[in-house]
Amino acid sequence: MEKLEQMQGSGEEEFTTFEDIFALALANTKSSHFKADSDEWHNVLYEVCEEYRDKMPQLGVIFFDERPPLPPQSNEFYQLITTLSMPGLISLPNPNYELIVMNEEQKKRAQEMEGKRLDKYKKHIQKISKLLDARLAVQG
Amino acid sequence: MESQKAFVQLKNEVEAWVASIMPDGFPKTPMPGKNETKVIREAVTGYQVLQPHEYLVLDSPLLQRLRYIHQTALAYLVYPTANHTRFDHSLGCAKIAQQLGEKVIRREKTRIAELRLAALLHDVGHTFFSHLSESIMQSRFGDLYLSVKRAPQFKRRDLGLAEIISYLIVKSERFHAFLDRVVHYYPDFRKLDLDEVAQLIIRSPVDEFAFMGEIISGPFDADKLDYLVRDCYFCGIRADVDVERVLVSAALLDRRRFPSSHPDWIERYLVMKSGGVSILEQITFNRMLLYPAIYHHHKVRAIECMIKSIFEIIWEDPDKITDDRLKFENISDFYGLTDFQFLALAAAEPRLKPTVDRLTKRDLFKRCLVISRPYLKQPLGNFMNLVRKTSEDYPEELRQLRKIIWAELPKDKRVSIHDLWVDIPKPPTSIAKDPDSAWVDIGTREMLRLRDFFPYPEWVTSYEANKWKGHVFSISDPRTRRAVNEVAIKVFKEHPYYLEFEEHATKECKFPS
Repeated sequence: MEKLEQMQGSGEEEFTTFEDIFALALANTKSSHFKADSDEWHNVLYEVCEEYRDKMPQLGVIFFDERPPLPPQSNEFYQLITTLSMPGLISLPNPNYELIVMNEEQKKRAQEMEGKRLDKYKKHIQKISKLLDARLAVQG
Repeated sequence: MESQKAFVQLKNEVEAWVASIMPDGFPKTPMPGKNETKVIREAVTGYQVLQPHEYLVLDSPLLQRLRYIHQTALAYLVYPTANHTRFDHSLGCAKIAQQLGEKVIRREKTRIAELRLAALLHDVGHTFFSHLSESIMQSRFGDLYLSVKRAPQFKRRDLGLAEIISYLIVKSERFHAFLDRVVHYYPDFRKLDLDEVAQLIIRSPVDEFAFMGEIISGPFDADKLDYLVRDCYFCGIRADVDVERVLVSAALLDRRRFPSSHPDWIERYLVMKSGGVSILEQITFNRMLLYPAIYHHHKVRAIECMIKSIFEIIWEDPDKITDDRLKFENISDFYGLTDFQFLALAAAEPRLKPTVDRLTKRDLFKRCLVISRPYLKQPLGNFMNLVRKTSEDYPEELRQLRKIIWAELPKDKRVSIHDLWVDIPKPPTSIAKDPDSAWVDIGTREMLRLRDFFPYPEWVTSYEANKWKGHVFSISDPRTRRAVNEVAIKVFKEHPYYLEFEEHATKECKFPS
């Protein structure tokens, strides 16, 4: 078991992905309800990548197809929603998934999971949270 | 790595490989006359007429190797008739691209010839085991790949490595010279633009025919229309896409139909008339169907892990591999081999032979634990920590997890680490992109998209929540599998996952009683 703990300790804290960043950014927002519109999410994701790609290498795996008049589209957006919804970190209530919800309990879970690991990106993530609040938040 | 430097590095690798495989001055025989067309028939799309330059291209060593690259890798070990190849698919794709082209730009014969040539060449950048080796290369040479993707040439598109290599092959000096010789020899095709063909492969044409990129790669492109039908047909899956209906309902739409049209947009868009909406739904449905049936089938994934284990052994200690062709130090090293050449060379290596023998005798890895949301007890623990570590994108992180399980196995049941795999397939998220981007023209001022007709997120999310499955695999020995099952359950219960499995996660592995 000692060996197991050593191995778990090595690297696990270091391994973070773009999904972790957005989980924490969502958890740090003031709102709990967000638009689910993929066009608007794509625009926000694109802006975040342009602004923070050099500062947070986790964002370096996100790529876009640019096909105006569509917003820049990314497979990683769909992956983000999947990765957050499969473990129940966000909810996509029916009908038609107009909303993405991260309630207080889900926020607490995300903060517990990601807060420490992403501490060095705290400032950037706070800014992303503000952007999410400004652009995607809706009244619950 | 700096993107342009990465681009030049990969370009040079591809140039050197193409020069090694493509004889200078090919073909050595006299050029056939312009009327010496040939007819070819293949199982899915039927007959098509090949122009002389087309069969000369098909006869080149670069295209002929596609005959020995299976479309669905080793899925024939699960579906015995899944023996279709990239060569067959390229032919089918050319026919559908031509038909789509004839539907929307009937009179533009040169443009249609460009479409056909791009379709014939769109998969020339694939190598043995198709997307499996592509995924292995993308993670092994991740830094190079991600940097090349950011090169200005590819900036506006999210491209897979095989697409990039296809483009580089078509642009390579040797192959480009060959194309120039065989295509422009014929007066009817003197105006065929080879650079446009290369651009079509990466979906980036720039002129008023930019919509042609959507015929090669778009929400209802020739590639998809062919592989969906072909994979179903050869795997024996009862599903179909009504390609003829697509051809009836596809149309071009001027950008001025969009209320906020902008001069920077392309001039014309490939759209589906409202009558074809059901076909778009059918395409999305069939793509969804094929994931559990083929691409994420547990046996297919087990086979993929076995191939990955061969690479792991190679790269663990390349000096112990005697044949230099199996060292795979560069991306271009992958391109010297086809499916059976790889297996034959690997079978001759003592360190790789046991795995190859198991593959050829179909003694495949078996399930030790099934990871799926319905098989997890509530609360779900830190499931996210696991699902984001996909086998395709984060093999190193999953290797750490495998090591933890391996270290906990009782010594008498401890298999080689190469025979123990945690497989987390990438959810089929890209399926959701098509409904977001497929334009539907209902005849009013308003342009709609498939997503306005079809609540796809509900579908995709339900799939991912309930059908998606990851696995822990190991060799078929029942004692080993049981031991791996017990240890894996224990490991997942602890930090950092905190997952508890329902009984069914074990039951579905069908351990012998």
